[in-house]
Amino acid sequence: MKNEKLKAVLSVTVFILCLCLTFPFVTGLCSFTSIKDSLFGEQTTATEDTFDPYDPYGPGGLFSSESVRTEPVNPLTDETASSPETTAEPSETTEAVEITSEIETQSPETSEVTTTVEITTVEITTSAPETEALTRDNYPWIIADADYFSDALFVGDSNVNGLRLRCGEELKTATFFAKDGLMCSSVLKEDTVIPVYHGASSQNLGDSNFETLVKSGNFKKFYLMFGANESGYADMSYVENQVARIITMVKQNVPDAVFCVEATLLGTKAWSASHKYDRNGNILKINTYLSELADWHSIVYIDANELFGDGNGNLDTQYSNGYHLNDPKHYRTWSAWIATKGINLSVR
Amino acid sequence: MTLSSLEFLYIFLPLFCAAYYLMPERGRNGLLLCGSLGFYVFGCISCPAAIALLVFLVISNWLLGLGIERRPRLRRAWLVTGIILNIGVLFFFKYVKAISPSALEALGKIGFSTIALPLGLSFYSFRAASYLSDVYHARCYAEENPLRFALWFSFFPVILQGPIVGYTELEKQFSSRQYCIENFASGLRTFVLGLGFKVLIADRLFRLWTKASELNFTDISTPLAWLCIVSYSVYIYFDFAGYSLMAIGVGRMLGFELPENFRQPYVSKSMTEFWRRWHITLGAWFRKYIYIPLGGSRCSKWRNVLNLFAVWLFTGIWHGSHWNFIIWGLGLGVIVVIEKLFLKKYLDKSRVLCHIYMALLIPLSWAVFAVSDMSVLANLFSRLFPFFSSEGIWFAEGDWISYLSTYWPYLTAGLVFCTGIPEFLHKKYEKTVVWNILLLAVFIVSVWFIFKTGADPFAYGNF
Repeated sequence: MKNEKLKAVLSVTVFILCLCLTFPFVTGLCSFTSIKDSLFGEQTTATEDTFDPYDPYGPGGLFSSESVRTEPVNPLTDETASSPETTAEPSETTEAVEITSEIETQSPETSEVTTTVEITTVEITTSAPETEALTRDNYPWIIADADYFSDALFVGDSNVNGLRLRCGEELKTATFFAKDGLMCSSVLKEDTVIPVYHGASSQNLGDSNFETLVKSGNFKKFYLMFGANESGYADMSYVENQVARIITMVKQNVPDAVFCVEATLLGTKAWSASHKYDRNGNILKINTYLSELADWHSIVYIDANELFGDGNGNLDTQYSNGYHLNDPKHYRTWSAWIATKGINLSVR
Repeated sequence: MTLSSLEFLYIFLPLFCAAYYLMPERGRNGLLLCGSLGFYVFGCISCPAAIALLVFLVISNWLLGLGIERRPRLRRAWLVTGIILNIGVLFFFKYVKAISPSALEALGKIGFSTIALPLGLSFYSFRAASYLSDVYHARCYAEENPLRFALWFSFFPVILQGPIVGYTELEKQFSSRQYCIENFASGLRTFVLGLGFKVLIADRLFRLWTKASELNFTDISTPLAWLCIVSYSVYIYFDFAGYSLMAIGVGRMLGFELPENFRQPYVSKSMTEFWRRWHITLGAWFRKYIYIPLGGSRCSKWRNVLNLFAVWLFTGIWHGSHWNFIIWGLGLGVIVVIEKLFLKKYLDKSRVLCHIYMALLIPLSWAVFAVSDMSVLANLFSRLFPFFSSEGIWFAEGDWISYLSTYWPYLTAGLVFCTGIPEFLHKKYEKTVVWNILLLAVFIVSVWFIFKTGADPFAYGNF
């Protein structure tokens, strides 16, 4: 009897200890990473391990001084943060022109004619004709066909994987690097090796990581879609940063690459409400940040929620039972819509 | 907050247990009542009207019970009023969406959820009806103490998903119960076992089901369709049985013995036996309050058949308002009647055929249960039995391999554990060091999964 009591006390004590030990991790007070840092010392100087070659704020990065950024677009109202009619300042050119004039003077005493040459420099300013900056509203989309998509690489999570499985004819020549649960932070990792497919095909073209695909030179158009799996993070701008890193990396290897950043799809109202946090609200924030990446020259932004949204920041229940689209025909609709938003290479 | 949420595991349960055992014995019922109401309020924080509904039903049923006992002339009227009130409220909330979307909208405006039933309504309304019936039939006395009645009504381990515990079963334990460290430890181990069932098996297999059913089964292969319904069968068992074990475990930690709710139903030889092993307290409720009052089996054969159909129709209606639940209930009724009329005696005698019979029937019956949309259900059955559809078996080649490669550990564990091995080992080795270390590992891994993926809602909580 005493033995039984002792075992019981021991069981309960160990359980309480376990609760206490796991409590800080569960509440986020500490993490395994912070423990590792405190045990092995935090690195304060930049080393090869901490240097980020795809830093979007670094030299040549997407957010560096030489890049051009547009105002973020509110996905619900389609308005930009500033006036919707942004007009670029007309550029002016100033040219220095030399005017040479010869003046002849005759001396009254000697009747000698003297020629004086005067050179006057005049600055002439000419203004270039005014041109409208490209925005989401006036971007000259092209209708894309199978030939257009033959050098297109679609990159993303389960949404893109679903699109790959059920797309229409137009995307059958596109290549897909997509996997359920693929996070934007994992794309550039060397060990993120996943099967690669053409659209609407179950034939594996071979397992590959993203870097290998980019460096193969076979792709000039990159369609990026992330955000669904990241919508649980505290900082939604994280997705923008990670997608910017992907774009930076691609541009380093394929300088003339063009990009289409796709908004992540919303979920139904019931699906969003079933989570502890406002899932659709977070997705809308992510999409706002993603729209900031578009320069409307080599990077465009499209939002398929225009097709499937209910106008109130949720996915319409006729298209989904919760999160993903619920009928292959919706994926074909999406696929056909993407084909109407072809990137216009003439304005790159 | 549910029994598998981090808030319950790390805040509510430890603090409540500490306060409970520090409190003198005479004050523990009061603390239990406060804790139970607090648990319910926390769970309904987004639907405050559900709290008001609970309070209203507690007061109404307490008064009705007293009325039945103290007003003999009107006792029948009080009973009928009580049954109509409890069952009426239940069916109103279950069917309002189907009958009147505008009424649903109005409910949303006054603080009810427009998506789910008020928490625990299906369970506490049945318990309330059973209490009034027991008082009427003098199976128990009406509770005079409103706080003790409120405690029974809102007892937190059972309020959300059962077991459906009658008043008589808990009443004596409110007056006196045994407290000892051995019971506390035993309850804790049972709780952890249930948590493991729910989080490590049920929640994982639920993802297979939701993923495969995303496109309404329009483009899955036949093997994947069968894989889906088998996974769903395993999921629903471990989800519900896991919850029941957790409820029993918490009850035991607090000195209560709650009734068993599952007894390895998947080893049953017939559907009749299955439903005596599955959700035992619900089956007992229907038997005691519907089947027997209708005459049970002590009547003509055809009357008995009608009684069975009535019970199964009510069972289907209790589970949901869509047509699939009615079809499911009546379908089970047909199977049970056929077994009763002639098949069961052969099934009971057989050793292998009965299990093949059940291995086919169980997932197919759950398939009807799981899919509310009739067109989607038709899609699923056309994938399960492709001989009757234009698409072939291999609609999407190799899809089942992809799912199986991800979920095979959980499915294998689930199918093996369905046989009752964990419960057998738990009973035999509960107090050994090895088993306790194993349970500790189950707890840590379960918490890790909950933390990483978020707690999936309990399946039966939707009913």
